[in-house]
Amino acid sequence: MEFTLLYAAVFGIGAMWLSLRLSPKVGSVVSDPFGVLMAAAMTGLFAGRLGAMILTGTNPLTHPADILLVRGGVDTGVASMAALGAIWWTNRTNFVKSADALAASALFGLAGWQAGCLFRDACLGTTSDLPWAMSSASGFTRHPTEIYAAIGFLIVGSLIRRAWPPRNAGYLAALALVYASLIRLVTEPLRPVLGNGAIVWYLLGTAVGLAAIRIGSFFAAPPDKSDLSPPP
Amino acid sequence: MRISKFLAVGLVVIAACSSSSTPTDIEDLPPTSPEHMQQLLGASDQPVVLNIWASWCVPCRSEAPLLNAAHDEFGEDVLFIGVDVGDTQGNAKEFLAEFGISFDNYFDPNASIRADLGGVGVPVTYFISAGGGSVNRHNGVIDERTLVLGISDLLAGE
Repeated sequence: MEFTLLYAAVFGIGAMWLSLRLSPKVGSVVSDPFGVLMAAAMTGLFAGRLGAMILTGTNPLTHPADILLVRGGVDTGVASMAALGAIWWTNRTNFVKSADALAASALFGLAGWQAGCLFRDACLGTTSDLPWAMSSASGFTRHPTEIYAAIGFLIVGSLIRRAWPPRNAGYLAALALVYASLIRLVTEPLRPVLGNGAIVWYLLGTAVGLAAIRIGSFFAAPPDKSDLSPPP
Repeated sequence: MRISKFLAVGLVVIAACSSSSTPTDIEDLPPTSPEHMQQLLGASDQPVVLNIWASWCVPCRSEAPLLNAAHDEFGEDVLFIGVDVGDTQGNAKEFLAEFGISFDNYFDPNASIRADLGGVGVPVTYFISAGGGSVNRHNGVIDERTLVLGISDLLAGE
């Protein structure tokens, strides 16, 4: 049994925790932000695993032990929707503002999760002759695809953090969704996957994020500066 | 109360997704031996992905759909072979029917193929160049990335 996914989990949780430690004012918008993000991550992982099992024809009720085999596959779309659902459930009265406040830390968490590939030998993508390509065990050089994604999440996380306060409620969360989807959309062709991978989900995420930005700006009330002014 | 209703509906939906196929139309898996397998690998002009599995092995269940999908995508360029170990014909056929496995599988109750090729436990996946030259081995459950990288390395080495 392999436990190398724990490296990715540790890096993801660590990056999320560090980001929240460096943004103490998030706590003025969301109570227990680390708990909320952890609940979202765990819910997403669990639902994504269930989704992957059902979509590949395995009944989770008759084979409950399979749920633990996270390495066996997690459905990206189901996991993302479940994670968002968990944030909504834990912040029902304050969902949009909470999502804005947590957006940057969630992106940093994703960056940490991706960077964990360095410690579990799982960064490589399609073959490449570029100078920064990494060698695989078989001698072929390949794109460090997961590192590309980690750097992308780190950059957009920083941009989202600097963009506080949001120009209208929901703006930063929607922008984070667009950025995250675009990063995965760009790196997906460089990842070793069967078929088209999760490209449809990433296109959907980009479209939903852009629509939310457009709708949000159309109906926006001026942001409550007294509530949002402290940079998180 | 609302949560209970939600969970109850969820359980019914999940249960409805169950499949219960009976392998009445699947023939017994042909037996194999190290000599037979070496002959098969040596005669193959395509690279080979060889998977050791068993119906009682939980990780094998998670990778079975993956191997089937990989066979659908790369089956024209790569030969996929499954070897069922430590099992019964009945359970093996149920497993193949449940996942709709479409590549060739052999029966090896004593796990002699794994002993011959080297490897630990179940599942084990071997990436073997055409003609049986070089062998890369992956012990344990294989994920999509590792499987596609292994196949990509095989094809790049052609």
